[in-house]
Amino acid sequence: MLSTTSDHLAFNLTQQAERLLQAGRHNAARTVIAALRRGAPRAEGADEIEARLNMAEDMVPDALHVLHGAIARDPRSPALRLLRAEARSRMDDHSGAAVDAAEASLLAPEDARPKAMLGLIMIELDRLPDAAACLHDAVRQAPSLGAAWRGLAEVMTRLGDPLAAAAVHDAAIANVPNDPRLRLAALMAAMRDREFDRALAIGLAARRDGLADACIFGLLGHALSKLGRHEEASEHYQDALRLAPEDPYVRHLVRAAGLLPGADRAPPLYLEAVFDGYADHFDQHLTDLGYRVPGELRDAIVRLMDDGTIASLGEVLDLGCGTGLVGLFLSDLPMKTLTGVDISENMIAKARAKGIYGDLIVADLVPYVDRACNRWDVVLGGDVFCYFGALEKTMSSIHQALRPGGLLVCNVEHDETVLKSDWKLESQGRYVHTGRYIRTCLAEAGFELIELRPETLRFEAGAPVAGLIITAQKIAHHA
Amino acid sequence: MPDAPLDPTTVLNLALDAERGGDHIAASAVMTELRHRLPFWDEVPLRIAESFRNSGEVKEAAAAYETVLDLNPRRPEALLALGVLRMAEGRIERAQSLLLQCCGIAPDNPEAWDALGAALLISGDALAAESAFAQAQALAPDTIAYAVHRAESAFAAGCGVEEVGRLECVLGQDPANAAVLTALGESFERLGRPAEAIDYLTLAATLCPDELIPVASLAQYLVRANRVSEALGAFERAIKLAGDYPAHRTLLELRNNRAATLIRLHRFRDAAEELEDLIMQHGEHAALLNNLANALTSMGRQEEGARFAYRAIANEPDSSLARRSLCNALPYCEHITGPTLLAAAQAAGRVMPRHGLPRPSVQPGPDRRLRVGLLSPTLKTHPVGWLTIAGFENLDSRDFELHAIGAEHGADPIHRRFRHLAASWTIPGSPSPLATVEQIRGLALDVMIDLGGYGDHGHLPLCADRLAPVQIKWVGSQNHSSGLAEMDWFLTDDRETPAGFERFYSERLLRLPDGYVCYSPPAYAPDVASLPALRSGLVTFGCFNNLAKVTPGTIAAWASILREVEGSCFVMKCHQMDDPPTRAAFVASFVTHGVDPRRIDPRGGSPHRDLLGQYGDIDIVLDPFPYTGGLTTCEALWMGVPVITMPGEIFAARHSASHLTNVGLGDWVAEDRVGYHAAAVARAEDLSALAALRAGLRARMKVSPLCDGPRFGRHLGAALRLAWHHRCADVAQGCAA
Repeated sequence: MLSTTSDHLAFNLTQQAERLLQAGRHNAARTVIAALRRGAPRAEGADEIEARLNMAEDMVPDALHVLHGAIARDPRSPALRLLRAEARSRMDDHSGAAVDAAEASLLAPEDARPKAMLGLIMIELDRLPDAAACLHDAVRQAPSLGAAWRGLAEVMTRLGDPLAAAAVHDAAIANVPNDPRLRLAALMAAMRDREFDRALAIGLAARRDGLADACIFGLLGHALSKLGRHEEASEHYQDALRLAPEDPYVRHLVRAAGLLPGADRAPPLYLEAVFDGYADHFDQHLTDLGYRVPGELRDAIVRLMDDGTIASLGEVLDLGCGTGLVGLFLSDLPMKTLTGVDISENMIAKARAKGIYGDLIVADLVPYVDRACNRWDVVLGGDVFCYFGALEKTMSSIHQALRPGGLLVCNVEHDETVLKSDWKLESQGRYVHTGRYIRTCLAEAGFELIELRPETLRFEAGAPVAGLIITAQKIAHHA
Repeated sequence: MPDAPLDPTTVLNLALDAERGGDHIAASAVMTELRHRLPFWDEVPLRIAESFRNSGEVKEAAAAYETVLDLNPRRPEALLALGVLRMAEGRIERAQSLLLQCCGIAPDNPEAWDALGAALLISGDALAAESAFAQAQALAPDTIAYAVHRAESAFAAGCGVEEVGRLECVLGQDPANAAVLTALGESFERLGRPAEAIDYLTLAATLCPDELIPVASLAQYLVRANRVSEALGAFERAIKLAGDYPAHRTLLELRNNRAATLIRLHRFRDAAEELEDLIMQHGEHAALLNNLANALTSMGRQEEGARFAYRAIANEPDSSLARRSLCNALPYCEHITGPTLLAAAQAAGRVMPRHGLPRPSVQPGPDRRLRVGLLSPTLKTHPVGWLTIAGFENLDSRDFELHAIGAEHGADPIHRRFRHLAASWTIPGSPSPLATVEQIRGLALDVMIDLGGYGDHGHLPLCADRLAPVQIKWVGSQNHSSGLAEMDWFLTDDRETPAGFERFYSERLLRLPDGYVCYSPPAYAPDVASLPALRSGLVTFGCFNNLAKVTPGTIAAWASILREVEGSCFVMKCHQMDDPPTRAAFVASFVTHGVDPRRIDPRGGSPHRDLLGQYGDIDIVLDPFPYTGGLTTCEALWMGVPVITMPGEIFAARHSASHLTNVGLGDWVAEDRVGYHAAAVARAEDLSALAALRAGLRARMKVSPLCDGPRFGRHLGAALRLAWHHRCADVAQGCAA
């Protein structure tokens, strides 16, 4: 039942679908598109909007299907090409995406977005100089394109030029002052580079400019904590919490600052957010810190092999494998398989690039271990239990996952002197444990403790961070 | 003239032509003549009946239809029309009988089924009505009204959810059917899902832009969803469409609602002009007078506003809306007193609808964890949010569990804080107050705190049915006593209600030890600027309050200060100053007091951060009276600008005094007009003291009780517990009231 002329109606419906899509009202947008398809099956813009809706709902193959048909009918539409570039990119078809983005750029040379898209795709293809050229063009043409600025900063960082990356961030913020994502990217970069003064300046400027964003305030607090200015940090954490009371990342930061009652582990989303952000620089960062955990775990295992406790590692599970540093240190030792599990997709990608692990799984390790029974010969936990307070349940799950006689080799951050309780959350967001507590946990879970060796795990601001290297064995029950 | 007499049909047609041409007398004469010549021909009385009906002569029309049926009892047009007329008269049984006959004789006539459905619905047989509407819709699937009526009857029969399922199925088959879309929109509104209702109605209105129903409903629901600018456009369209419909009641309602929407958009002058025009055309309807009262008060014409509210009450003494309007207008009036305002509030309280429900029972346990309800449409970035959230966040969650009852506000930052705190969130969705009361009573709350009052969309009237064993009035149109007999307590402090003020309140006063609110300053507030007078050498006074608070007496006081403080100027910043005539009138009012207009700087509305930033131009804030600044005073202080205030007798007249005292600026509170003037002049002369105060004011405020959330939370918790203990003691003593 249509009571206005078809073209006018189709235009109005397309506009309406667009508004709903922008407002995130996807079901309603789909209803409008259905009406549009019924009233004007070949209405201009209908394919594009339907494809965008599919993309917004993560139905990328459906979007591609619509786009293939639409581009076959209208091969000179830059908007459709650009959209397909995005869809292909999301399906990891970066080469196909590059072709579409380049085509869109040729069809609409006045539009900076295809150039920006091409630049971002070039990053994925690891063609960094090309990416830099495209993104430079894009921001020169349209200085308000935040995504292009972020991409350009990333290129500079990956090209090993943090100064250039910082300059890009400064220019980006000057050009797009109201984009909180740019401020966040700049803040994260400064934190990663351990440039806490710079991070502080970026955060304070964002705050002064009126960008009320929980993550910005959270990181601002984090920067102040790193600079030892805990009281000021707490004020920013509280503001962050007010803006995002339900955000697990913010809550964890605030908890770490002692402003909320403790929880017994860091929230998975926090770990995912933090480590996805850190993945690119993780190895370098840890090496810079004099990071010793992988080597210590290796030494512990080698001692077991030397004294004849084990001959081979068998099937090994690396909990919280991160970028695969522990795997790298163990890769020359005899073993059947090496499986890594980590919550951060970006970390897993870095681990995969090392080519050491047989299997890599993106998952929260607690439910993952919980599901296994008599499955592993060795479970490794390199710097993973510092994200847990209470360890009873985890130890019990690991015990169950190990085969009889299987080994747990791991470390914790250690503080015996100041602790009244068994564990405590430190202001950096990590937990420290007492040796007494570790012994109790292991015994209650059914482990026999082989070794509990105090070691320096790394250095922070020149000071050693104390830890315990733990080796424990699941007692084999003989018939 | 031809010899042979004309064929009767031709004669009748000629008469009908005359009728259409406006010559009713000639037409009537010819038809009467024909009726005389052919007494058994039913066509003639039928035409006469329709002629009467078209000219609004209902009784005559009904008589003529009865004649038709005497001649031909199976004439469907007469059965239908007479059925509808009898229904309008309230003779439902007769109407049903006629309409049933009509449907039997003309089963293909959807209009007859629709009318039968309406009659059945009125008689309370919603299921049968739904069947009749279903018949109508099956015969005319594109007619919007039938689909809407069917959905309404399904809801009345208690199968609304099933009807939505059916409509969605039909829509799957016919995605561009505006009738189904409209019915879905109406259904989702009934289900309390306004966003979906709006989506469907918008689509229906796009597909059928000439249909009144979807556009008119859309306008109404957009207002309810606070999408006021869009609503205004929809009202404009609906009013154009309604012009084509005979029922001018619809047009009047639409125009009144558009005026109310203009008020929500702060276009008070446009609203007032529209309402005055409507009153000229249609007389003094209470709904028009209420809106006019509101518009005039907001323009700073408080006395006129109150006069129109009184006229609305005179028109409809039992209208709760008119009484609420008066309660909202009087606090702004210059010479308002505590007893007058209490009397108006109590009169309003008496006419609030009550459904005779028993008082909710008290679950024993004076010290157990209490279920506390927060009743408010504005748990968000709003004075209610800024002044209460810190208190609620700092209530001990072991002692109190919070349950919110109010609208959804998406990603609004303060709303998110409330959402995080609330153990449950209830959106009052039903258009029926009784159903809403039952829905809220179902939460089994121990204490209900009203945070909305008689303001826009406030739920205070529901408290007349007692939503919880203990009811407390707090922020949210808290300008004075609620006057509601069922409101047990009024949350306040010693400055707001000093000893002896109990007589101005119908509630018991629940006094907090410091202030009655706790202010949460926004994280994005700019830094405090240095004293502008040090840069310019001249003092700038200012007021960022709503113009409704600025009485003629306030302007006279400000003008006399400006005359005495040489070179000083005055910044008035409020959204009303965006309207050029209002702005000009404001400046002119200073000129009549002998102040050079160049010394007055009227500024319109701006985003909140910018508004706060503009305190950087102000040295001293002059509070209006009798209605003083509340949140506005807190904001001025946060931006380093002290406020001179003069408290009065009513609650709204003492907000600033409370806030100033709590930040240690009690010496900025004047006793009377003379003191107010003297304080402004003296403070303006001591710029170094002003600069020093300004530099330290934010730090001082941060640690003061006004911003001390944990301290306030403890006090609030103790007050809630005290109120609960009182109720427990009453119950223990067998005292129900």
